[in-house]
Amino acid sequence: MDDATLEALISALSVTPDNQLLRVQVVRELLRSRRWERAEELARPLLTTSERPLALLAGARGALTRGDKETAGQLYRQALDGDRGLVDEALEAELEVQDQPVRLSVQGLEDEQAALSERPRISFQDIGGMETLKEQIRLNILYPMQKPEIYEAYGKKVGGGILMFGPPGCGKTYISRATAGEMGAKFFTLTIADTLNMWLGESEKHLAAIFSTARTQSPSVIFIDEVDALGGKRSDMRNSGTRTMVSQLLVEMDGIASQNEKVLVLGATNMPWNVDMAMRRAGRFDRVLFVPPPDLKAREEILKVQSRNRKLAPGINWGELAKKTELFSGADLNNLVERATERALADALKSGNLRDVTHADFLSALKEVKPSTTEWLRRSRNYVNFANQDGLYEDLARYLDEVKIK
Amino acid sequence: MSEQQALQRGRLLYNAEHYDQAGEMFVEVLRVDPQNAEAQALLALCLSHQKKWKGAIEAAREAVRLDPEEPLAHEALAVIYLNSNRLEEAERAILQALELEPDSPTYWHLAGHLAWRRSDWQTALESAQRGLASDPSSPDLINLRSLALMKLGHVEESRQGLAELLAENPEDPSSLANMGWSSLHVGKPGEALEFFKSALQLEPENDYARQGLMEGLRARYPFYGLVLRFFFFMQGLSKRAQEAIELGLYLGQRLLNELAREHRWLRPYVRPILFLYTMFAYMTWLAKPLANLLLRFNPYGKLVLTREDEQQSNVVAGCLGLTTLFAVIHVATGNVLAFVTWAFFLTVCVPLASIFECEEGWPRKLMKRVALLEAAVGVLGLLMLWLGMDRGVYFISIYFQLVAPTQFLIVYLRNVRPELGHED
Repeated sequence: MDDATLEALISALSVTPDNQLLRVQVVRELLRSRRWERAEELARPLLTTSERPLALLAGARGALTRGDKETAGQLYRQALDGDRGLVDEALEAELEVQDQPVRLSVQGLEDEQAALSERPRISFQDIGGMETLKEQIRLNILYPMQKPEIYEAYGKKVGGGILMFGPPGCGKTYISRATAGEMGAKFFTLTIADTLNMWLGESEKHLAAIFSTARTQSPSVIFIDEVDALGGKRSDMRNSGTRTMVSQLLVEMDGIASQNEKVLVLGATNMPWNVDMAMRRAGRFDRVLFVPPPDLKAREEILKVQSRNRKLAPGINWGELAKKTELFSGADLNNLVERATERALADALKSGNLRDVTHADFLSALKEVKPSTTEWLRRSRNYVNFANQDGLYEDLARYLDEVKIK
Repeated sequence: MSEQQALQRGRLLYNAEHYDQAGEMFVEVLRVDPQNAEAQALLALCLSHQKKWKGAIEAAREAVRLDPEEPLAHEALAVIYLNSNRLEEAERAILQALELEPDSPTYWHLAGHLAWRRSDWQTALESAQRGLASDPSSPDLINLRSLALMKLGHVEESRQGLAELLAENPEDPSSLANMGWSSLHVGKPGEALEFFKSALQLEPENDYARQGLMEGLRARYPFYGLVLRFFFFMQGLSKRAQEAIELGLYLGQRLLNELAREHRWLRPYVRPILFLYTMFAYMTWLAKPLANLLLRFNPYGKLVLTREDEQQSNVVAGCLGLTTLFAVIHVATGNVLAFVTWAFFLTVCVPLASIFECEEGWPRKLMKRVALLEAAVGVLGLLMLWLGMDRGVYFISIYFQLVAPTQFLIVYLRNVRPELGHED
């Protein structure tokens, strides 16, 4: 939506302040165009409605703009408790890393870990479909943690590392959280910004501290996002001092493996081919999980969740929409819902008649939204074809054949 | 975050190929220090990796403007122009850079790369040598020199340079890929395949190696090997000479046709020559899709063919299948219309197959329109004739009139690289 349309919506809202549908749409658009304070202001009346979570999210954004990270964090968590669909990864990243100086003090580190760690409330039940992936996670992650004695009897290790890879926007973070939720484990997140801090020596103790906290609070999951950025495969980075960082991580992971502790390190990446080879050796990220774009059932589920609280006409055929959105990522599906809504909204603005979002709106929106995963999948084909000697990409290869990507 | 920290973070993210996040860091640097040409140049490179050509070009120009002494700015501008197929602007940027630093190996490499893109092997060789005068051990320049030597026919000298590079660094994907191409040049597809496979194992997204691998696989079929040799021979000639040969062959063929028409006694001599010529001309167009068609029955070939390769070979297989069918009908029954029909399918195959050879963007769109329009005219004419409507002759003769001129359009469209970044 362009600025002019948004301004038109805002002025329409000032004429009909009780139009909740319009208000919700305006707030969403303002959030998307990063006009945080305006979003917060216009969202306030929603606090007393069923759209409270959205208002809380806007509040969190507003608080963050004013530099009040604590309030922002609280509001954001409340917002998520109300509506899980509101996950905002950019906001999370900012909440976690914004002020560097604090994390240099030991006290700061502990505070921060409290903020970094959570006990996720979501579980596999919240993910529709994706049965193969869930089963793999159960076998490789959950059962070893739940029945360690059986695994130990067979000489299998319990904790350790698993590398999850797949196209962007397909829920690697979400699935990791749900995994921790299934385990009832504490969940620690390391974002790319954290990783960079470590690289640059701004918080060298950070990594060790996170691992030691995770050990004392086990079972726990340490989630390292965009793990490819750590160390790096390319030769020009080998000399840049980042090797010490990788070594530190490896020491920690080896420590967990040798002690058989109930600490799981989950690495996520869009570029598994750039993950440092040393990190893939035994006891480290030696197990690999391909997280594909959502399957049919998962797409239907995601569409329904994303469309909740929208003004929907009866008779939307979610099954058909799911069928027509092969290869769509979670983010693409969200985009589709937004576009469909905008169609109804544009009509409402023209005619003043608040019509519902119909199946036809979704079908028209489908013409505009294309799956964003195709490029990644095509690119990955090269790795499957030419660099799959150690079988790293077996699941990916099967998937590419299934969806006929060449 | 201080400016220095942001710059350092941006560089790390850039090296890790996280271009969007790296770009944000450079924007952050520029917010604090709008005059930072290095950050501006790096921002330009981030944008180009995200294929945002227009923004990339603007950012790189700005970087050069901010600090004309900053080598990275010139390099970024030239690289972005080259990658967006804007060769004339690339030339200006490189000349400007060389004026500031006449001995820079980097700039000479860019100059050589530009010449390479223009198929001007002599200039590419000279540029590589100028650069090597300042930095005799630069792998990029040695690779470029070897490629140019190879194209100019000095294969031994070329291979020697590559062998030295590989002795020093056996795992360099570029040298391996170049060695593969040089093996193809000397007609050793088997050896070439080994080099390409090694290169791709190390760098699976190396497109030059992937193309080489495909050529190597196809070159194992003798008919394709022959056509490949002809292509290599033509590439070794200057652009002028290439065009002269193409035009000469075309005119020669017409001349022979005319002679055969005028002088009955010449026909037995001219006809076989014309037939062989026509067959060869068709092979230069259709050898690739035909070889790809065969590769689909090869387990490894099946794996590496792209979806487009498959579609193209489907089109060609369909056309040639129909050609054969109607040729058989014609021979069996003497039906004249069957003769016209098989001639149609044989000729329409070339523009249709060429759609897939044109670069995405306007060249492919135009090729597609022309090919489909001609096919439609021909099919319409044939349908009318088969249904007994004599006016079909009108359409089918228009179609056949278009065949020869279309070939020139095809040659042009298959070789043109659309300039990028003029709009978003």
